[in-house]
Amino acid sequence: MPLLSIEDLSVVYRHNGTSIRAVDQVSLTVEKGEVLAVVGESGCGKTSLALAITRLIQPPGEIETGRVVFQGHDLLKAPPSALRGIRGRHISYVFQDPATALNPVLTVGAQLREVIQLHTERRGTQADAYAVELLSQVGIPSPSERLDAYPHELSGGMRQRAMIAMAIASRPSLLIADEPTTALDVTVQVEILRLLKTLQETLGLSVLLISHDLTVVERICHRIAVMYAGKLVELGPVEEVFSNPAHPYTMGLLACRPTRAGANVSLAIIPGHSPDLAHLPSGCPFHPRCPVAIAACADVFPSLDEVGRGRTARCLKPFSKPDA
Amino acid sequence: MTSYVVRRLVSLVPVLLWITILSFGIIHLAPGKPTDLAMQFNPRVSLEARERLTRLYGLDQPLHRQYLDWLHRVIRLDFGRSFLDDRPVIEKILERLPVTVMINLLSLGLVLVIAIPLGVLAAVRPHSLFDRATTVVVFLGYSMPSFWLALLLMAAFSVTLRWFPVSGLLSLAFAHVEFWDLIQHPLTHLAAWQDVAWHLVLPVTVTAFVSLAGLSRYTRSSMIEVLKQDYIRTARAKGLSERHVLFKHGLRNGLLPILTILGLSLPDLIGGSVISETIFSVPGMGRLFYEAVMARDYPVVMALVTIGSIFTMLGNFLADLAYAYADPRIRLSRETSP
Amino acid sequence: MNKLARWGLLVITALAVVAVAAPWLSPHDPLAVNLPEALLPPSPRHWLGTDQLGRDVLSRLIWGSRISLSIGFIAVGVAVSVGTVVGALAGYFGGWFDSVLMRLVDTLLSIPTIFLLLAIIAVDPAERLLVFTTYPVIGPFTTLLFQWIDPRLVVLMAAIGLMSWMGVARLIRAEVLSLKTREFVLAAYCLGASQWRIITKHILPNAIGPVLVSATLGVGGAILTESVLSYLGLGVQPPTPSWGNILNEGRVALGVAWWLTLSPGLCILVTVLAFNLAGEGIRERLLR
Repeated sequence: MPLLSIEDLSVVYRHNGTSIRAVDQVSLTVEKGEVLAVVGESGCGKTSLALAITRLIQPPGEIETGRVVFQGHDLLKAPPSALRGIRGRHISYVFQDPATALNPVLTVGAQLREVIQLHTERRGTQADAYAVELLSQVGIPSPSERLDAYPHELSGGMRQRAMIAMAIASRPSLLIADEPTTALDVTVQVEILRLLKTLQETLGLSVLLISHDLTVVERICHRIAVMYAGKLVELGPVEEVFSNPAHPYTMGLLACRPTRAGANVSLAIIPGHSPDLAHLPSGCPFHPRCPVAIAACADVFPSLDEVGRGRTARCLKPFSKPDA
Repeated sequence: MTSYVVRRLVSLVPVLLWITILSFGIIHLAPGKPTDLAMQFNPRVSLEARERLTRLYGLDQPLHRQYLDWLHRVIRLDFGRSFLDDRPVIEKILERLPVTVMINLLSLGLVLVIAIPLGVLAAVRPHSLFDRATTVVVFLGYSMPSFWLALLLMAAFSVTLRWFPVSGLLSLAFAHVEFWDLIQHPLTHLAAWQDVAWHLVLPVTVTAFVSLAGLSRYTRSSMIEVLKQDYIRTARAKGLSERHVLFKHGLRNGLLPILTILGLSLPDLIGGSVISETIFSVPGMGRLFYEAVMARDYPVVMALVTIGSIFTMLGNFLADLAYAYADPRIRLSRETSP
Repeated sequence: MNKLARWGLLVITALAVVAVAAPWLSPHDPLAVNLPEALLPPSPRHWLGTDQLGRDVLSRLIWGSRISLSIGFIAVGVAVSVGTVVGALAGYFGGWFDSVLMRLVDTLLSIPTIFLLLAIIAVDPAERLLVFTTYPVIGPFTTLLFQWIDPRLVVLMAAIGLMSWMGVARLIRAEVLSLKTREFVLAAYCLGASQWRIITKHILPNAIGPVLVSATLGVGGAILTESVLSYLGLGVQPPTPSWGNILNEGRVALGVAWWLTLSPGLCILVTVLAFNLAGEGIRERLLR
C-alpha cells in the first residue's frame, strides 16, 4: 500500500468572480522510501498541490474535491487536531526560500526547539542536545553555537539546512520539499541535494520533491510526475521518462536543459507562453504550443492513459517526436 | 547595539538645537518687545526702569547673542520668570508636569490595551463583520474633533447623568491636598486618589480616543502583512496551533512597527492634552500653555514649546531604541558591521 | 472604487456646492443679530435653532462651510507646495543639504502641532503681515488682498499648511531618491535632459499618487485643526462664522442649547469623514 495516495485532488482560487483551478483532478501516489518528483513550470500548481496535502491552503484558495489518504485516513476529512498531529510529525515540509520561511525574530534554536517539544518527548537540556545533534546531522558546523543564531546571521545554505533539520526532527515518514534549492547558489544546491538524498536513505524517508529543474530531479528522484496547467500530464520512473518521454511537454522540458553541446547549437525552447489558468485553451491545454498537435487535440481533453509499465501520460499521440 | 544607540543620540543634537532656535525665533517674531508687554500693566514706569529691564532681558544685544544667552539659561533649566505672576517659569511647569504625565501615561495605557487587540482581531478575520464594524468606528474616531467629543461626553456623563465630575482634578473636599504630596505619599491619601481617578476618567478617555483609531488601524494592517509571510506558513506546517502561530510568530513580528508608530503619535498625545485639560479644567501643562498663549506670557510659551518638543523627541528616541532592541536584525547587525 | 470612498467624494462635492452657493442657500443673514429670538430650539423658521445673539444657526453653518473648505484647501495647497519643493530639492541634491533639511523636518515633526500653532498665533503674526502693505511695489497688491481676505485668515491658512508639509516632503524625497538611480532617469540624463526636466517629467508624475492621498487626508486634518483653533478662540474670529467658533460660543450654553453644540460638530465630523474616506479610497486604488 502506498504511503500517500492523492485521488482526484482539485484546488481552486476564487477572486473577484474569476476562479482559477490551480490543481485539476490530480491523482498520484508516493510509495514508502521513494523520492517522487513533481515537475512543471512556475504557476502550474505544484506548490498548491503540496500545500493541499495537509490542508495548508489559505483563502482565497480552497480544496474543492478529492481525497488524500495517508496512513489509512483521508486527511481532507480529518479534524483540525488530527491534522496538527500529522503536520510536522509524520509529514514535514521544506520550503523554497529559507530567508523568508524562517521567523526573523526567533533564534534558530528556538524554532527548532518548537518542533522538538511539540512532536517528541524531549524537554529542556535533552531537547537542546537533540537540536545540536540534528544540526550536525544536516551538516552545520559548530552546531551548539548556531542554536543561538538568528536566521539572518546564517548563509542561505545554512538556513536551508536548518529548515531541513526542523523537518526531520520528528522522523517523519514523508518529507515534502517545495523547490528546496531554487533560492540557493548553484554550488550550494548540489550540497543540499546530496544531504536530502543521504537523509532519505539513512532515515528511510519518502520525499515529494517539487522542482522546475530537471537536473535536480535526475540526481535524486525515483519517479517523476509532470504537471501542466494544473493537470497531471505524465507519470513514470525517472530513467524511462527521461530516456523516452511520452508527453510532448515532457519532451520539450528535457530538450530545454542546457547541455554541453557545441558552441553553435542554439538553446531549445518551448514556443508560446505559460497558459493563463483563467482562460485555458479548449481540449488539451498544451495543444497551442505542441509541435505534434493534431486537429483532435483542440476538441478532446485527453485522459490519463497507461503508456507503459508503471507509466501514464495524458496525450492523444504519446511518444510522437517532432520532425527535426 | 551600543554604537547604534550612540549614533542615534548624536543625531538628536541638531534636532535639539533646531528646537531651541525655533522656540526662540517664534517669540521674537512678536510685535513690540517683551518689555512693552510687561509695561502694559504699569504705564507709570519710568524710562529708567524700562532701560533696566531691557538690559535685564538682554534686548539691546544683537539677536544671536540673545539666543546664546537664552540657550545658556535653558540648559540650566532657567526659563526666566512668567510675565503674569513673576514666578519662575520652571516652577510653574513642574507643578503641572505630573498631572499631564499621568494623564498621558494613562491614555497611552488605555490605547495600547484596546487598540492592539482590536487590530489583531480585525487582522485575523479580515472583512468580517467585526472588522468592518471596527473600521467604521475607527474612521469616526479619526474624523471627530476631540474637543467636540469632550463636550458631548461632558454633557452626557457629567451634566446629565452626573456620573463624573465636571471639571478639575480634585473636588472641593480635597482642595487642601497638595498634588506633590499626593504623589509622594500615596497611601495616606487613598480617598483623595480615588477622587482624582474619578476626575480623570473623561479627560483620559478623550485623549485616548483619537490615538486609538490610528493605532488599531495600523496594527491591523501590520498584522495582515505579517500573516501573509512565509514563516507563518512554515509555523503552520510544523503543526503548531493557530493560537501559537498567531501569538508566538505573528505578534512578535507584527507588533514591531507599532513601536515606531507609538513614538510618532507622541506629539499628538501631548498636544491633545491642551484640549482635554482646557475643557475639563485640569491643572496640567496643556492648560498652562493655553493660558500662557491667551495672556501672551512669552517666557512660559517658549519654555513649554521647548520642553514639549524635547519630551516628544525623547519619546521617539526611546521607541526607536525599543524597536532596535526587539528586532534582532537591527540589534545584532550594528555590532558586526564594519 | 470603494463604495464608501465614492460616498466621500459625493459629500465633498455637495459641500463645495453649498459653500459656493452660500449666499443663495442660506435662509437668513448669518450675521443678523436678533436678540428677542435668542437661543431658540430648532423650529420650522430656524431649522437648527438660534444662538445667543439670535442668529440663525443653519445660515451660520452654511457660511461656515466656506471658511472650513477654503482654509482646508489653501492650507493643504501650501503644505503640498512647500513639501514638494523641499522634498524634491533634498532628494535630488542630497549631501549635507539633504541632511540639514531632514533634520529640520524631524524637528518640526517633534514639536506637538498644537503647541507650535498656538505659539505662532500668540505672536500675532497678522500684524506683521500688514507691514507688507507699506512696501513700495507689492504694497497696493497686498492692501487689495487684505481687503478681500482677512490677514488673520491668511496667517491661519499658512500656519496650518506649514504644520503639514513635512509628510509631503518625506514622500517626495523618498520618491526622488528611489527614482534617481532608476535606469530611465539615468537614460534621460545621458540623453541630455536638464535636471529640471528630469524632475518634472519623470520623477514627479510617479509621486503624484501618494501626494494626492496625503493631500486629501490633509484637508480633513486642516479642517479639524482650524476647528480646534477657532474653538480655543485663536482661529477665525467672530462674527465671521466658522464651525469651530460656533462650537465655542455654544459651549457656555451646553446644558440648555444642545443644538449649538451638536450641529456644528456633526458638520465637522461628516466633512472630515468624507475627506478621510475619499483619501483612503484613492490609496486603495493606487495599490492595485
